[in-house]
Amino acid sequence: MRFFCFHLMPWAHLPEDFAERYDSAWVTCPNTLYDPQLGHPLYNRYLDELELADQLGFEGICVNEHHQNAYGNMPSPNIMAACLARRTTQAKLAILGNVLPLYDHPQRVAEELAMLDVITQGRIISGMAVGTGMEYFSYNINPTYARERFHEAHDLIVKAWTHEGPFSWDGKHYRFRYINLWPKPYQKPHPPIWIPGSGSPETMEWVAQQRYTYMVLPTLAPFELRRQSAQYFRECCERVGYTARYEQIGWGIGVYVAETDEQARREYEPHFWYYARNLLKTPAPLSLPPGHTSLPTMLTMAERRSRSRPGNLNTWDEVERGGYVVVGSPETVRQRLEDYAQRVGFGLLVANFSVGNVPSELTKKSMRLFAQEVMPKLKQVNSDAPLAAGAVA
Amino acid sequence: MSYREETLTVRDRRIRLMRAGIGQPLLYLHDTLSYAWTPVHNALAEHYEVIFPIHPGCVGSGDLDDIEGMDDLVFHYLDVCAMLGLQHPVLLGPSLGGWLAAEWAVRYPEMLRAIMLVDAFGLRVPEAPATDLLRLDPAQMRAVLFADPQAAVAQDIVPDTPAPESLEGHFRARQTLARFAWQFPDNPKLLRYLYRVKTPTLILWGAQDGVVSTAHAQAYLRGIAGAELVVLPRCGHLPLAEQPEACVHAVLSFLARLGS
Repeated sequence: MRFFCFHLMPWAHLPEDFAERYDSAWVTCPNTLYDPQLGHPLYNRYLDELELADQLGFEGICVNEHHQNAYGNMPSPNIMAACLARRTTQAKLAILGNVLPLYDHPQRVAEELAMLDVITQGRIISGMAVGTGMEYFSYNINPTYARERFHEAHDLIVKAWTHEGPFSWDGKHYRFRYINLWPKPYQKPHPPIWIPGSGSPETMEWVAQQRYTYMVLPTLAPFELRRQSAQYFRECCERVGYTARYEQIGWGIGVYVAETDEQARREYEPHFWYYARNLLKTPAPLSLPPGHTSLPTMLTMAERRSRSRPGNLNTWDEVERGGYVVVGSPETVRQRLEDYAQRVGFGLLVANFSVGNVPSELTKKSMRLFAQEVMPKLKQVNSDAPLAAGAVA
Repeated sequence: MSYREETLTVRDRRIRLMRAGIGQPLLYLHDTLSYAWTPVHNALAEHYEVIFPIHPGCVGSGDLDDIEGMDDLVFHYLDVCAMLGLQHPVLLGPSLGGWLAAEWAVRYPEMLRAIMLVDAFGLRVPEAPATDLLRLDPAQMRAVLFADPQAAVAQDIVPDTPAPESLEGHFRARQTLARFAWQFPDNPKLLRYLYRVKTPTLILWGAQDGVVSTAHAQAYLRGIAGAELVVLPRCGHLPLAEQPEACVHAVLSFLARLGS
């Protein structure tokens, strides 16, 4: 197994009564609740945590993109990756991902990732995302074109990375006379592409065809629902004519390790509820704008959503039984992750050690315990044979 | 009175169509909130031939595909008219349908007998911006759509949970609305071309419309020379649903004054 440390960089200072007073942590959540004086130490502390992951031997550290919200304060994931680029030496920087349909100039994404890839001598992993429904409200992008724009922007970016310039792009959503990337990415043919997805069949079918890595989201959903997604993705790969490698399936999950199971729960639980009850608070119309997913997916999602919303959770027992997060002593966490890995077949663990408003010292302690006592024992689980020379990961 | 069901094929796209009555053609351009044949259509069909096609994207018709904006939708309806052989139709359009009628009338005013804009989208009115319907939950939608959000008709058109069999229709209608009206249900250029509408125009509006307020009715009235405005009391964004008798009366008396 390969280990990545993920961060959401949430706003940790919402008022106690946030969930009662506000209907959304997204789009319309008033930014009077944001305080730059508190934001300064918060950003730097979060970056410190990702830098610690580099020192602890995680293979990569991960950032992502969300807009106008308290859930994750990284509207530009490429800026976060740039902050980390020269403060880390070993870790890959996985940007999970740029929300392609939001941008009218996809070559900007291609350029920024190429810059980062050259600066870091090829440590960049490029996630590409359709993005949550909420982003379409925040950026006024017509959601009925979400999929079309995602695919066209992806095609343009990959071509810009891999083809000699200048060339012209004359598509439906993007038209450019001159695409001519300076700089070009360091990695050949281009940085690895990971696609985060929350179970839309159309995304999984496409990822399988492209032979990219599929990262199973949402991070906070019942184990069984996410296992089914991974299973469907593997079936898609078989239909395309190959067997998915373990490392083609990423498993995003909240992880917390402490000295004992009881201590882990005691330290983690209050901050988990801050996350589930405040940060995930999203009115349904904002998360499911029309056309953002296909009609059949929409019909099943409405039902899935009602079953799986963490906001519907009330007791820690439900959280544990549903497998929403993995929390416990090093041995408990090892056992649960090994069991999940064997049942799901994932080879990339994308673990989020920080939750809600948890203090940094606890996050760092958990990361250290994980790196020292859990990681070495899971390394051999779901480990792929090396790729043949010249093959594209 | 019952209507007939027909199916057209317009540029390879299936279009469902309902029609009833005889007389001058009245083309009904539906909204995306409710698009069923109602007693209003029956009452109008006693005097006119009422033709009620379903927009691309909505249930019964083919997908939107390359219909990307109101200009495409106008061309689609020119094709529909050509196929049906409609001469000088009267257009009746609520909400999104009214916007469509206005976009049509600024381009081809000479081919229309009259237009009736009912709580129409279409205009950018900075001092009274349209409500972003697509971010509202059902209860919030009823509050802006209806003068009486508790009325049975409000619950019927915007239920808290659509019945499973109507879920697809519900999603398709929302998708059609989003395609044309995402965040801003208007064409910022439309106002400047309203002077081109030489067609007799009735502007029919719900006094309590919480989506596009009567400020939008006033803007249409200022822009279209000779237009008439009727504001209906105790009525929101969907007069045909909320005040059907008053609508029928306003429409028939307006059309009667036009003569034949």
